[in-house]
Amino acid sequence: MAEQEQATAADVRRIIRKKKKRMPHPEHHGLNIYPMMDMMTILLVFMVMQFASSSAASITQNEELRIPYSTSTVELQETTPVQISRNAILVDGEQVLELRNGVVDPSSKQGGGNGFLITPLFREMQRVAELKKLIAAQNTRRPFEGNVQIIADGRTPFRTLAEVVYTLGQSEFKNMRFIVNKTQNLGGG
Amino acid sequence: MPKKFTAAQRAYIKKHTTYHEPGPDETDDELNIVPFLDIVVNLIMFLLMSISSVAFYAQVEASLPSYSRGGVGSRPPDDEKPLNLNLTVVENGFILAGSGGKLAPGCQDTASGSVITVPRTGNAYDLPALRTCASRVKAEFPDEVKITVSADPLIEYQFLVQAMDAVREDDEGETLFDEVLLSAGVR
Repeated sequence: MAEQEQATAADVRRIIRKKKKRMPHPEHHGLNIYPMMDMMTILLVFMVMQFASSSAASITQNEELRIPYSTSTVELQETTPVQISRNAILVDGEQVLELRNGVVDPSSKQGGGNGFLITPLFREMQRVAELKKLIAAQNTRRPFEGNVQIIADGRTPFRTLAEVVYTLGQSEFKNMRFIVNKTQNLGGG
Repeated sequence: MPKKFTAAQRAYIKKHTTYHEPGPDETDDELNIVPFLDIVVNLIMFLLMSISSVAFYAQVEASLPSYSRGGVGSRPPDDEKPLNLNLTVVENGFILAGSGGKLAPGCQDTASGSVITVPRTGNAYDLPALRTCASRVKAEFPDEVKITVSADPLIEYQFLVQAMDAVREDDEGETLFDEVLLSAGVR
C-alpha cells in the first residue's frame, strides 16, 4: 500500500471550493411587501381623512335611538347635529335635556304643557347660532345658513318633534336635515 | 486518491467551509415591518367598518314655513293662485288639502268635513295610495313642488318620514313635491 501523498495548497483550495458548492446559499427569501405597504399607507391616509370629515360617524344606533328608514338618496352634509333619542336631547353630543319616552317635561317649556319653546334647547341653540355667526363674520366661505341636522328616534311623537323644530326656528335654524337610514322600499325596511 | 492533510490544512479548510447560520438580525438588512403592517391592517379594517356604516345614512331636507319669501322654499311669485298643498298625518290615514279644500278619497275632487284622503288599511298606512294621489295632484299642478307636512301630536316621526318619501317622487323617480315645509300641526 502506497503512502498517502501530501496535499498541496492547490488541493486545499480545491477541497474548499467543492465543499462550498454543497453549502446552502444564503438566498434572499420573503415576499417583497413594499408595494403593498405603499398601498396600505395610501388607503389608511384616505380613510382617516374621510373618517375625520364625516361627523355622522358618531351616530350610534341603539334601543334609545332607532333612526327611521327613508328612500331619500341625498348625501349627508355636515352641520350642527341635534339628537332626539327616547330619553334625551343632545346638541353636538352634549345632553341639554332629559326626555321621558320621547316627551318633553312641561317644566322645561315656556308656557308649561301647551308651550312649544323648549327653554334649555333654545338657550343652547342660541349659543351655537352666535358661535356660527362669529365664524361667518370672520370667514366668508362659511356663512351662517341656519342648517341643522336632526337625528331623531323613529318613535318620537310629532308633538316633541314640532317643539324641537319650533325651538330651532326661534333660534334661527330654519333648514332641517333629518338623518335617515337608506332603504330602497317605500315604508321603511 | 485521497491526499494527506496536515492539521494546519484541515483547520484552514474547516474555517473556510463551516456554514454559519444567519441570526434573525442578519438575514435581512431591512427593518422588520411586519408588526407595523399588522397594526395598519387592523386600522384599515376598523375604519372600513365605521365608514360603511356611514354610507347607509341619507338625509331628508325640510324647512320652516316663512312669512317672507326666502330659505329653501323660496320660489318666484306666480301669477296663478298657489296650490298650497298640505299633507297631514293623522291616526286614521293621510289628509291632503290644497287651497281649494280637502281632497276626497280618490283624489279627484274636494270634500268638506272630517274626510281622510288616504285612509289607513288595516294596521299600516297606505303609502302607495298616497303616492298615487300625490301624482294626480302633480299632474294637475306640474310646476308645484312645495308641500307643507304636518301631523297629529301622537303620530310617530317615522310615519312622517314615510309620508315625505311617498310624496317626494313617484314610482318612476319623477319628482313630485320635494320642497317640504314642516308645520306644527294645528288642525
